[in-house]
Amino acid sequence: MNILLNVFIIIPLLAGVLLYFLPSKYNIVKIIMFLAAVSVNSFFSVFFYGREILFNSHLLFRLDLYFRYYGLNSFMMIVLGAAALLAAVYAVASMKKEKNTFMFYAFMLLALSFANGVLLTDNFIVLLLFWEALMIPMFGMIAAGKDKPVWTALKTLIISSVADLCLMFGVMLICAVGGSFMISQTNVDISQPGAVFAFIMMFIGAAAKAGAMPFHSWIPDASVKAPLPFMVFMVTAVEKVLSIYLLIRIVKDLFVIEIGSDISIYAMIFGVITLLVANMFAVYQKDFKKMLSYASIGQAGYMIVAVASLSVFGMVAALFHMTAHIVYKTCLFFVAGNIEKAEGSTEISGVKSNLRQTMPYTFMSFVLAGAAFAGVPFFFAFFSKEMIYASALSVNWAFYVCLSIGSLLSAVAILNWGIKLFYSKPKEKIIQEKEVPVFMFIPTIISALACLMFGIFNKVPHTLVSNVIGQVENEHSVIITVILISVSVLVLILAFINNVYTCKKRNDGLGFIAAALDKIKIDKLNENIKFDPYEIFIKAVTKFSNAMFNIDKGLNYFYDVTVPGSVNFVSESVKKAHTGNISVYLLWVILGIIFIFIIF
Amino acid sequence: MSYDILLLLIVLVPVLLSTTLPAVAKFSVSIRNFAALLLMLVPMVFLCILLPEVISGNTVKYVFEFPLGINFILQADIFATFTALASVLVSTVILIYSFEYIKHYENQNEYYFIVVLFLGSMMGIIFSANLIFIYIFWEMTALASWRLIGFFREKEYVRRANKAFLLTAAGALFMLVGFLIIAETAGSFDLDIIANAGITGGIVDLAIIFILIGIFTKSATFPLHSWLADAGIAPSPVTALLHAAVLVKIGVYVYGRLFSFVIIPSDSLRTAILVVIAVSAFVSGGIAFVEKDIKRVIAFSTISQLAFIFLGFVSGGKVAFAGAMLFILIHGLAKAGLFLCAGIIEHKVHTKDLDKMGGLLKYMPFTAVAFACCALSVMGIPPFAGFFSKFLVIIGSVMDGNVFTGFAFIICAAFTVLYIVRLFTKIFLGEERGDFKLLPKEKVFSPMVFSVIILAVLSLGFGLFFGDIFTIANLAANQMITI
Repeated sequence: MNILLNVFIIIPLLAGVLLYFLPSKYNIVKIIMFLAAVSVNSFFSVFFYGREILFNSHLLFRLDLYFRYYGLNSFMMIVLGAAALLAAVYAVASMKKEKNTFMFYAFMLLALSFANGVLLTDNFIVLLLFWEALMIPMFGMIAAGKDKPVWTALKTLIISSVADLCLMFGVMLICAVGGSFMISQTNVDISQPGAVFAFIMMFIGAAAKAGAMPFHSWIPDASVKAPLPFMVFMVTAVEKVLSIYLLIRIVKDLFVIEIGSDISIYAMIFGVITLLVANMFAVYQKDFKKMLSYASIGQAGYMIVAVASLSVFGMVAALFHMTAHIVYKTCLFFVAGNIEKAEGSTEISGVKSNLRQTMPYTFMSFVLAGAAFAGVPFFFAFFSKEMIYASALSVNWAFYVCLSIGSLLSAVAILNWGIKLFYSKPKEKIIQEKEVPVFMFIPTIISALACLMFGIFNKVPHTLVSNVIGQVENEHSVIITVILISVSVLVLILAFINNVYTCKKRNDGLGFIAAALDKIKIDKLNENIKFDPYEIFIKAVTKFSNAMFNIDKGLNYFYDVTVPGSVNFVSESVKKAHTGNISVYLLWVILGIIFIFIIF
Repeated sequence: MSYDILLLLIVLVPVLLSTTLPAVAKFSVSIRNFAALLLMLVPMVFLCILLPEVISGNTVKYVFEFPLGINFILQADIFATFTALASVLVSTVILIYSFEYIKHYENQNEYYFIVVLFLGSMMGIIFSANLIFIYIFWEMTALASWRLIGFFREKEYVRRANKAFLLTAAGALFMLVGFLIIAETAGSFDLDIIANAGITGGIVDLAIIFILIGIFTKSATFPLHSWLADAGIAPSPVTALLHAAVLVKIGVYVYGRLFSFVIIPSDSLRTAILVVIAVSAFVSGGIAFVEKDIKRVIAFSTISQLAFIFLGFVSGGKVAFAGAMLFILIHGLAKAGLFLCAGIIEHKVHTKDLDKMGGLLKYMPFTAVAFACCALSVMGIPPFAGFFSKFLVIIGSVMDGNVFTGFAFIICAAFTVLYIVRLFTKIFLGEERGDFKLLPKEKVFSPMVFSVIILAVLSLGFGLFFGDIFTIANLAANQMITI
């Protein structure tokens, strides 16, 4: 059996299962096992990087399955491994007193194993197997939350399965059209019959994994209910990595599509809608974690737009942005976790102290990660966002304008939260330091420093990404590039002015942006549960089901009342003719004979 | 012992010796139970002996000639042997479960007699290669199910048993007319001769429609399904037997045997069948989402899942056929698990009303885990076996050019997720809607709980070793194509 299969799939899988069933007296062993399994995974993801390995295994499902380790997935596995390690350390430090901690660890290892399976496989069926199997650890990890948030877990399960079924159907179609179950052997021209439908279904399935609208609504719910490491590992890392990986494979390897074709434009519009609506919602959130989750959905929109532009430049941009996003969003979620630990809440009403003074390191981490999130020059996401702008502009300027509006909204949201959390007047006059334990702090500061370091030394991630997708140059002239950067800086200045204006004029912290958004009633859409696509879907299903139920009732009436009633009526009528009078019987016989003559 | 005698014994042992069970009970109830189990295990062992022979590509045949061409022919190929093994396996687990479940009730002798006879009749249908004998065994199962559904003998129970019997018997009469037309056209009731005759045309389509009425009635397809949900009043092992292991599978099996490769329906008829089964899957999936009776939800789920099996057989390709064949086994295991779990729940909380359950995970953790495993398999979540069968059936259908039907069934698969998740939540999660605090602690080693755990393990195990069973199904599909 190949060592890659052992290291990336079997070890986390077995460790997860074992960890779950080990009795509680071995808790220390469980923690060591958990950290060891994640560390081994991270170590080997770096160790094997750059190699190209094809291997076959008969172990899983007793089927002849092919796996392929190469540039793109090896890079994805490094990113995933790093996020998993940070999340694992944070989970051990932050969840040690919680009831379902070990259940969370076990499911996290299962998720890591399945996610690696998705990345490694070269077979469509196995891809689906691991992709759909991820629902089980997702459910388990959310359900491991403090108040056992089963309903949130169920909502996640239902939304994910519907999206996964779209992917499944797309895979079925592409297998039928392409004539192969091997991913590396599939390359279908979009003009072939059925290919467009296959593309749409696969694209929806893959984009939904990143939280694209309308498959997003479980993420904000989970952000509040699920353990925080879930948001870092699953929502920020696994979902984005798998989604972007598959999207890139779809547009780069599986389908042959022309740049600027209609289907590419529609896919970009899909991404733009996601980023605009999610960022608008993000602005209105009253809970920091919810804001981050909406912002995460919005960032998925950027990546979708970049991939859907179909250019190699766009794909590099998407991959670059995905990496940046994982780094800064991980840090911001850690910041949220630290604040929650110290203050007991991430809602603005729950924060009582002057966090700038009581949690100075957390504050510094927020500044670094927030700057990367907003796209401040020389921070990590600045470069990736510029690349995405450039790729969008090369398709149509309207996309570029939408992306810039999205960036303005993100910047407003993060600045607003920065002011609310760290610069608002404290409700308690406690200056005593509340900084979190060291093992919660270490992952926070590592990810915060990465936001700065990878911004300054952006050549490193850029080279890594270009190596796996392809070397590209910006197709725009220097002047256009300078204009793009200037506009980005202007957007940031605008966001800053907005927040300064807010401090002076309004008390909701949202400035003139809020006035503009109020006009399109975004706040109503955000607060009213009736507008949750999941609720709309469930309502429609219930209506349909009730209609079917009534049809069945009607049928039952037919079988239980109409049929027996008709039989009884006929038999009663015949009974009436059955008088015992011989002449009547004679008449029946004559009628019978006539009937026979008529027939024959 | 030669293979043909073995084949004969697989049918005759349960059919004939089941009659001795009431007599055996005069000596000891335990011996009767053991004898009943033995009558299940004997065919299972014989089938296991037969399996390598048929997998090697040979067909085992037993022929006893009667006048008028009504020959008693039993024929075992991979498809038949595999389906028979699936039925016996699930039936045996159900029987073990019955040892505990049924011991409090009257009419136990009749119960064991009929259950074993039921299995024997099923073996008869599976292996018969003559239309008249298929019909005879078919009616035997109708009689058996009539007694079993009305097991509790109260007025409402008997009414529903009568409904099931009358509907399926009426359907069978239509089927008989279809058989007669086929025999008239092909010149024989023997399947081999019919297959070689290569009959087609309008009259054959008419015959197929008649036979389909029988099949749809037995395999509870909309709008002929209404008896199946009503049959949920029967004891849980009976509902498991009817809905999962034996009765409803008869219809789909006969469709697969007759219409996948032997008698080919015209394209327009095939399209009509696809529409009917898709509607059936939609309607039943919808009803399952709003039903409040635990057994009725599972029953409507059966109706919906049967449509998936039909899809595999109707599509006409090798992959879809193999998928449908595996679906029979995998759905049988998982659905039997769900019904038997429902039985345990009903036994403990004395209600079938979902609105009076909730929070039972705490009180019956083993049942909950077993239920969850079987539910995941029915939903088609990997690595449970249900994923593979569902995937193969739909992709097979897509590969055969039925793209829109495939898409419709994807939506039905989404419905499956919805109603199964709702079912699990209503039973095991959320707030307790009853006084369950006094419920006794659940024991793993009671026959009832042990049976459902076996079914759950098998639902997962067949997924993890899917390659092996797929090889058999693939061989079966190849063998059927060469007919």
